[in-house]
Amino acid sequence: MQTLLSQPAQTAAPDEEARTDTATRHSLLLGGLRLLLANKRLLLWTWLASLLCGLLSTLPFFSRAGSYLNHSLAAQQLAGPVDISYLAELVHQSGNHNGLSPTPSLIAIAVFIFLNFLLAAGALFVFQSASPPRLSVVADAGLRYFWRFLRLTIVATVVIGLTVWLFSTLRDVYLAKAAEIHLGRELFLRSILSVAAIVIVWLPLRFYFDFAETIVVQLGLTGDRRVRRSFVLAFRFLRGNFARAFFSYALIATLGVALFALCTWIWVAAISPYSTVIAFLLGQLAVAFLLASRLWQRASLASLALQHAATLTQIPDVALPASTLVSPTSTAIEQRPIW
Amino acid sequence: MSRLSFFVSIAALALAPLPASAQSLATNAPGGQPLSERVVAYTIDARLDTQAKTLDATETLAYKNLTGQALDSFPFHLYLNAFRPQSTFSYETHRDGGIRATEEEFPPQKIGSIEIKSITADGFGDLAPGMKFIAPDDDNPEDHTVMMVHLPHAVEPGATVTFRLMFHDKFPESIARNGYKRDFIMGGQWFPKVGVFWHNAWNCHQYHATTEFFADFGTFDVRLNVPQRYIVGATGIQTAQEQRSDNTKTVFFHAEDVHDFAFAASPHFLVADEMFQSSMGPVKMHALVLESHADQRQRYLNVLRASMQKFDEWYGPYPYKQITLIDPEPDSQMEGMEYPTLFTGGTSWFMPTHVYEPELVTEHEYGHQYWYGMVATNEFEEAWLDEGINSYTEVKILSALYGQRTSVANYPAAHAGDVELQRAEYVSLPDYDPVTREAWKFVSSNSYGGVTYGKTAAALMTLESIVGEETMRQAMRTYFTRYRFKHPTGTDFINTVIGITGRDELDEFFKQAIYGTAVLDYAVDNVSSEPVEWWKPDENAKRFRSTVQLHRKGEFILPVTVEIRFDNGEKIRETWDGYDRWTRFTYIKNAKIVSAEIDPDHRVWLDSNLLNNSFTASSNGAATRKLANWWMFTTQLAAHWAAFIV
Repeated sequence: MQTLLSQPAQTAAPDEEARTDTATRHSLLLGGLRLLLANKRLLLWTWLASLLCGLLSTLPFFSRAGSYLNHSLAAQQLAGPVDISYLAELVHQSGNHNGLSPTPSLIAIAVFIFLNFLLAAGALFVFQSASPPRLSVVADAGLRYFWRFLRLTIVATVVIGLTVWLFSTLRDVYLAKAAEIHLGRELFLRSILSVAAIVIVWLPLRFYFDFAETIVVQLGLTGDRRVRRSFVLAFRFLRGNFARAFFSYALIATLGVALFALCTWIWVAAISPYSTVIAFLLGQLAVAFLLASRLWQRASLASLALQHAATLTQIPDVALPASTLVSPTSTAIEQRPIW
Repeated sequence: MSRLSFFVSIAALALAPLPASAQSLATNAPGGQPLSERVVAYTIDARLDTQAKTLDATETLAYKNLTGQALDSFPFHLYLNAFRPQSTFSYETHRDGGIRATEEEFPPQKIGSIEIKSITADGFGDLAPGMKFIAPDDDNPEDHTVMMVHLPHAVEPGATVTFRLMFHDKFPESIARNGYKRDFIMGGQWFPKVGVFWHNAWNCHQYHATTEFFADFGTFDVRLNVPQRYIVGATGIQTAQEQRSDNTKTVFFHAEDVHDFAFAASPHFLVADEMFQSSMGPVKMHALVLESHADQRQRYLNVLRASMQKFDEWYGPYPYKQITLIDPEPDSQMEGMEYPTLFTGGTSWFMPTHVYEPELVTEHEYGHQYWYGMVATNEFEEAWLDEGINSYTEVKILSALYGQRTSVANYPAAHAGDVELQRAEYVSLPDYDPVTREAWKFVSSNSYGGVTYGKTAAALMTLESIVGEETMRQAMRTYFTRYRFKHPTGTDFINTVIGITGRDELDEFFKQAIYGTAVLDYAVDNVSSEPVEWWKPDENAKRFRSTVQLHRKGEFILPVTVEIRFDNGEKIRETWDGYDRWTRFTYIKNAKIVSAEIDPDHRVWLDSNLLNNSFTASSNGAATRKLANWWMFTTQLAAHWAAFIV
């Protein structure tokens, strides 16, 4: 087990710090991928959580829609190429009887967010502690870190929310001005570019807080439960290493979205509209690619933290009390339940 | 001869009175004969300030009193005054919401107005002292969209009175149909327009959130001064153009047998012209398309040509020499609006070829050349006669061009047809208002839209299923031919249909579908088959008693056909008069029932619920599974993105 304060076997030697950016990127991408592949079951748990929430929202829909469609010949207009007006008819008729409510979906989304607290913390714990990716280990770690992740999420939500709100407001003002001059494709491009600008602002913030989560787990492995310290450590470390780490992070996100888009394109454009089973498999594959890319991002950050544990320990003003300096093989993993 | 003198001479020729035998400038009427009873003759000389978005003009209106009564007062529409927070229009749009609603604080650029600087009449002197605003619909003293002018003495029957006005327009940033967006200006309802003396009274309603227009036929000669760089399209035909030394130009337009005049001006228009040969003569298709939509010029022209061909073939000829298609500024609330011989289309820079939105808008607005432009019904009081009938012909023509179930969108995975969307618009609010309600008295703009457009289209499609497609087409053609260049009423339309079909019993249909609010909903409650000898074990049963139970769930009574299918391939069609609340059909056969379906040919578009029109003995969850898969995927995707907060 390695911690920020330990000297893990694969920690880079000082002369290796001068490696090229490319080499570092490779190591982050591949290091993260190796961690992910070594813990494939994490992807399985995450996908199952997603599927569970999907089913939670869909079973009421399945029941209600079935009551309208399963004995109606009109359903033929929906079973293959979809007649959009019949879809509207279903929504309208079911709406008259409180039919296809989105409430189960909203509940399912809330459940998934909750599960994601456990899964994210559990995954980072497994990545950094070399523990087996058993569901019990993931759940246990998830519960142990739950409140720390919740506090971190609240801070992240406030910071990211305010930033995105500010930039969205600026975007609205800019587009209103641009719309006085530009039209059609030009205006659309400006609209897209301004969205991209917001993403460019949002993604580094998310990256930073993801790294803070990684460090929270690292600190937790030494018994340090302070969330604030993780913010400081993450900020000071990324100040000198941002570009090379962020590139890998963004590349993984792009790869995930691209694979997702490919799957959905095949689903829509190349699969018979009657093939529900293949559509289901493609849809789940698309979701799995997104989930995998997110896990890969976390794994690459864990890899980064592990590679630079020595550097991190040299960051000033973050010296930990001697009592917390423990051997990586000791029982440093805190045992105290937090519930 | 200098260029300027040449154009002035052409203009003078164009504006000179024409001998009756001469060829008409603006129509293909045989011998140049008037097509309408020309009550009004407008001559307007206007200067458009494209920077200030204002217009100053002088207007001469010669009104021929063909009412048979002496008239000592004349109402004028001043539509631009609707774009003030105090107006009835603004109150109604604010109340109903929607795209025309303005924010809580009425922004100054949204304010529009028309101000009468002076008004006189030849032989009557200055009329300004006797001028006052009236509000015949709601007594709103701040409305200002109708002005009444009192004359010191009456205009005798058969006499002509000539009004001379000076007015000033301030165009709003577009809220509805007219105004400006960026440097595009749409001059619609921009000049003082006299009301219609109709049914022994003046008919001059206020401008409402949901109402359109009504006016008398006549001629228009309009001179419009604009900056040199502007390209102008307008009602009628352009007869001349005069270049000015102040970097402006004056464009001359002439129109005959029309009841309104509109123009559009933009420095970004590209001109695309083609000719169409109608059964009355050549028609110039004059498209003014924005540079940003340059690649869609041909798309506009193709559907315009196809629509003109179908209208000519099915309903009657387009008699004018030109039709002008304006591609309006995006996001301008000026898309899809009709004026005589001119209309605005609607598209965007990204418009997939399998989504027929520009085609739909173009066809619909061209259709208004018939159902509004020529058959000039009262849009205030009977909007279904223009919007509704036009929606019906829109469905027919788009179905003919692009397929009934694919005339709005046509992709391998999904499609939509216009008739189904018209019907869907109706069933969202089916029972608040009858089709015949005055446009401003509907419970909401949604009800107005759903009933006026959607229900009328669905009702006429249903009517067509009763009388037959050819008979219906003949009725429509007769209605057009009989009432073009007139102001018919709903009764005229219904009497024409009943007369052509020879079926008096249709009166009952019209009472329910047009004059009433009853909702049509027939359902197959259930189907079942059980052994005739039901008390014996059924493994060896060969004869079955099958029953089908039908239910009239709505108040609308219409005879319906039901098709029953058996597992030996047999099909039976039954007719039920629908008077009772329910009925049951029973069969004893060596076969079990498979399904029963009301309206098996899918032609009763007034039915408010298409999902309950059939019932199958066995369950088939293919559609449910497919939709459930979508639902689950969407939820998972939303959950994934939401989980990015962690």
